[in-house]
Amino acid sequence: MRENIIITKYCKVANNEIIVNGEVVFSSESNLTFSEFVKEAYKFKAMAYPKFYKMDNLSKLGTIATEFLSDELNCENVNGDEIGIILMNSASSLDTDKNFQNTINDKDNYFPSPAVFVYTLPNIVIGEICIKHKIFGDTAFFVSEKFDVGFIYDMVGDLILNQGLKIVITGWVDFIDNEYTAILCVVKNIENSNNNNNEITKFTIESLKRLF
Amino acid sequence: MDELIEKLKIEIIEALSLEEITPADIDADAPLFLDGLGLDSIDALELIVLIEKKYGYKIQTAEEGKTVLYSVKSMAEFITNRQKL
Repeated sequence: MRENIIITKYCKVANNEIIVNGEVVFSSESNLTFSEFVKEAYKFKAMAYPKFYKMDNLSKLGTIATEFLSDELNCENVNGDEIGIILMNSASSLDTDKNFQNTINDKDNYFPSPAVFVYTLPNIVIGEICIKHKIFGDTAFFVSEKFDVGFIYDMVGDLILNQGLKIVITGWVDFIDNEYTAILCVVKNIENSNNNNNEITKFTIESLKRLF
Repeated sequence: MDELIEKLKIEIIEALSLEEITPADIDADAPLFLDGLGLDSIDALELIVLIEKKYGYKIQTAEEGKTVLYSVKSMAEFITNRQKL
C-alpha cells in the first residue's frame, strides 16, 4: 500500500554545502573547486575508501551524497538485493565524456585514458554506490532535462509495491563544468517493518516536488 | 636506476590518483597488484599508457605486461633496458 511508503532521509549537495534533512551538516569555502570541496567532505566523513579518489566527478558526487544517507541503509531484515537505486540527471556523463575526448583529440598525442573511459556512462555512479554499500537490487539511471517527479514516483512505487524492494535510493545527481547538484532521498516500505523509522514525510508526488 | 624508480613512484601516484600514498610508502620491490598497492585491471592499463606516454615504450604482450608491471623496480628495469637498445 502506498501509505506505507515513506521518505526517511534526504541529502542535498550543492554550492559547496551538504544539507541533510534541511540542516547544513558540512560546508567549505565557496571559492573551492568541486574537487577540493568533495575531498574535504570525504575527510569530514572519515570514509577511508581510497577508490573514491579514482572516481570521476559524477561518481564522487553521488557517492558522497549517499554517504550522508548510509545509516538508513543498514537495517535489520533488509538484504542487499532488497535495496535499489533510481537516479536521474540532465548532463548524463558529458563532463567525463569531454575529459576523455581531450585524451584523444590530438593524433600526435593520442593516449586514451582507461581510467577516464570507464566513467563515460552515467550509470557508473550507481555501480560505485552499489559496490560501496553492497547493494544488489534493481537499479536504473535516466537522463531527462528536468527531474521527472511523476516518473520517479511511479517507478520507485512499482519497485517497492510490486518488485519486492524494501528500500530505494532515488534522486538527481548532475555534474557538468564544475556545476553540480545532488539531491538524494531514502524511500522505505514500512509495511511489516519492525524498525523504528525516521519518517520525514510520506512518499507522495507533492513531497517529491517539495524536495526537488 | 634509483632516480628512475623515485620518478616512477611519483608518476604512478599521479596517474592512478593514489592520494593517500606517498613515494616513501611504495616498496620498489613489492608487487604492485594484489597485496601491494591493491591495484586493479584498469590501473594496469593506466600503467601501460604511462610507460608509453612518458617513455615511449610499448608493452607488446600480456605476458610481458605481467613481468614489467610486477613492481616499480621491474618497470624501471624495462625502461632502462629499452633505453640501452
